Parts: sequence; C-alpha cells; structure tokens
Amino acid sequence: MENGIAGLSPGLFDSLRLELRRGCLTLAVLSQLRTERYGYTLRKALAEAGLEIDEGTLYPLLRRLESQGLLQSEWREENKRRKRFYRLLPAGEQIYIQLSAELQRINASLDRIIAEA
Amino acid sequence: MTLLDRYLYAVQSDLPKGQPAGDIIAEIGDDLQSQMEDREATLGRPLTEDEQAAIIKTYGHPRRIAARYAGAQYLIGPELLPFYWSTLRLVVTIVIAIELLGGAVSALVSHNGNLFFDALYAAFHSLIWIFSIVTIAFALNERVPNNGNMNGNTMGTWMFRWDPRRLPEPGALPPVPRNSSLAEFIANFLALLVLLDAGGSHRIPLDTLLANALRNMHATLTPAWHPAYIGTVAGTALLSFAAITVFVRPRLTVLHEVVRAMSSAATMTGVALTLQAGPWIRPTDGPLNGAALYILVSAIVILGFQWTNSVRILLRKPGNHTPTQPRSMSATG
Repeated sequence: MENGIAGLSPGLFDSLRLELRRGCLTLAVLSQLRTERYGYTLRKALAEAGLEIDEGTLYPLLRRLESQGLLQSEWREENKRRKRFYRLLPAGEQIYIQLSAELQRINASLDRIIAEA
Repeated sequence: MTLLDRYLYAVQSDLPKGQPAGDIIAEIGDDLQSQMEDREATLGRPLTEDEQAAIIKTYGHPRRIAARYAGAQYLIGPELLPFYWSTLRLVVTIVIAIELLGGAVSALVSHNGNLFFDALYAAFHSLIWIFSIVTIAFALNERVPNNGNMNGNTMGTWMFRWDPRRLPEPGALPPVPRNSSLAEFIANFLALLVLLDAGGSHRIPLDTLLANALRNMHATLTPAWHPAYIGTVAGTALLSFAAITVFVRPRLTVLHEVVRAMSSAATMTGVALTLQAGPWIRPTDGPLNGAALYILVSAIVILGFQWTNSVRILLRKPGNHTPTQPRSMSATG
C-alpha cells in the first residue's frame, strides 16, 4: 500500500506497518495453535480473523517457533495427503499467556497516549 | 512434470544447506495444492495452466521463498558493523604504518630505496591478512551463542564496554582520527630524519640534489639559512611529537593544537631570522636570491596562516565546536 504522503519515501508506510505487524503475527499464530492445525488451515483462520499472512512468512515462522520449543509438529495423512499439523507445547502456552498480557498492557498504554495526543 | 513440481524443485535447489528440504518442500507443496483445490471447488472445474501459474506466482519467487529458511543472512550484523569498521580501520592503520615506517627508515638508513618497495609489497599482503582475520573474528562473534545479548560473549563484553562519564562534552574539540594523526606522524618523522641527516652529511638525496642543482648554476647557499634549518627541525620534531601523542590519546586535541601552534611559531621564527639575514645565495647578485626571497616570504605567510588557524581553534568558544545540538540539550539550557 502506498502512503501517498508528499515528501515521504513511497514504501515508508508499508515498511512501518510490517514492523508493527511482526510481533503481533507471532502472537496470533500462537493463539491459533492452541487448537491443532496445519499450515493452510492456520493461514485461512488468520485471514478470516482479518490478519493475512503470506506463506513465505508463515512457514519459516512456524519452523522457528518449533525450534524454540514453543510448538510441536507431526506429519499425518488427511484427505489422502500428508499434512504437517502444529500444536502449542506447554511452554508455548505459557509464552502465549505472557505475551497476551503484555500486548494488553501495551494496548492500554497506547490508547491513553493516543487519546491524550 | 506439473508446474507445481517444477516450482517445488526450484525452491528445493535454493534452500540453504542443513535445512530439512523434504519437510519444507512437502509443506509448501501441500499448501499450494490446498489453494488450488479450494480454487477448483469455487470454480467447479479443474484449473487451467494459466490459473495454476497465477497461484504459484503469488506464492513468490523460488529463491526468495527458499531464502526465508536461512538463518542470519549477513556476515556481520548491523549492530556489530560500526565496531567492525572502526576496528578494521585501526588495525589496518597501525600495521600498515609500522611496516611502511620500518621500510622507510631502513631505506633511509641503508640508502637503498628498494627496501621501501619491499615494505610496500609486504604491506599489501598484510592488508589482505588483516581484512580476513578481522572479518572472520567478527563473523564468528556474530554466530557465538549469547542468549540474544551481544554483551554475553567475550568479544561483545570488550566492545560494548563504555562509561557515560568518559564520553566527551558536547562542546569539546572532536578527537583527532587515528589514521590522520598516524599519517601526520609518519610524514613529519620521515621529514625529520631527512633533515637531520642532511645537516650532518652529503649522502642524503635531497641534499645532494639541491647541492648539484646549485653547483650547476655556479651557486651556493649562504649561512643565512641556518636559523630556517633549525626552526624547521624544531617545528617538525614538535609536529611528530604532537601527532604521536594524539595517536595514543585521540582526545588530547587541545595539546595537539597547542603543539602545532608552537611548531608553526618555531619554524616561522627560524624562517624570519633567515629572511632578515640575507643574502641567501652566492653569488649574491644573481636571480636566485630573488627566488629565495619569494620562497621565504611565502613560507612565512603559510606558517602564519597555520599558526592563526591553531590559535583560532584554541580560542573558539566551547559551544561552537558542534554544528548542532540535540533538542533536549538546547531546551534545558
């Protein structure tokens, strides 16, 4: 998306938006994986909730979260095709709770700051 | 082979080594297959090749997709990079300077110019070694596990060691860059060696060249040049001292300027005394005396300008050394 503001570099809004979204996407993925899902259904669930994430970002993110010990994955057959199912581990659940609380604190602070501005 | 197979093969070829390629490709393949099936269900018919190509194209260039599975994509990260450059500059400056200075001194002492070129060749080799060693050290440091905290390993601890109380005041003279002070030292030290040798013997090329040139014109220097010679030796020695001092302690900028002012003054005094003691060339009625007068007056003007510049820097008000001040500072006072 172009910011269309004169005097600013064309991709600035997109770049700032990407930065803003990055941490939120991790939280959103953790939230959705409290229920077991495979990549494609996870992406669809996030898109339906209004948080689109491209495949090239999602799969490396899932792999990283798994290597950090927050998720576990398992290959299983569904609809005659092998799919990789992801689910939160207890450590991931703990991190999810902590991050959610942190996000709420940040949101509350931002609400106050923006209201005062 | 379908378009999807070709795409997956392209991604697999570009995946970084050490990644579970089979897993990654199977997962990407399943995602793309699911997208195509969804689309087919919506349209109620199989997809055409163009429609398949459109879905695959939306997924992204194979190389870009593969690259996302790589870890650190850089050799030295953005936080270490400034430290890398400053370390590289410092080490290159010191090692190359030592080699060149050693070569120059050997060449002067043994009157063999080839020794300097040997040193130049060795310096070029050292440059490659220094670049490799410093780069490898920083690249390894980037990859040492440190719990996400760069201060966590030995090199990080050393580099990020700092004390707010030792930061320079905003108004202070900026530190002299080490490469600049080292170049200043080498130039002046070599000039000093040449000057001192020229005073004692006739083996120095500079002296020989000058004597030969004058002899060809049936002319000789008069003793009037002695004060200029002594002043130049004193000034060059002072400049060498100032340069090596700020090389060791780059923040001693005030001392550096004071000594530079003293050097200009010493040389200027010597040149002025020589100017006063003319004639400077025998035979005294030749055109060379006019040229010498022109050289001496020019030297006094240049040295006077240098002296004034040093004094001006020393007398400048502290606040004027920084072109801009952070807003918080100007707001508080």
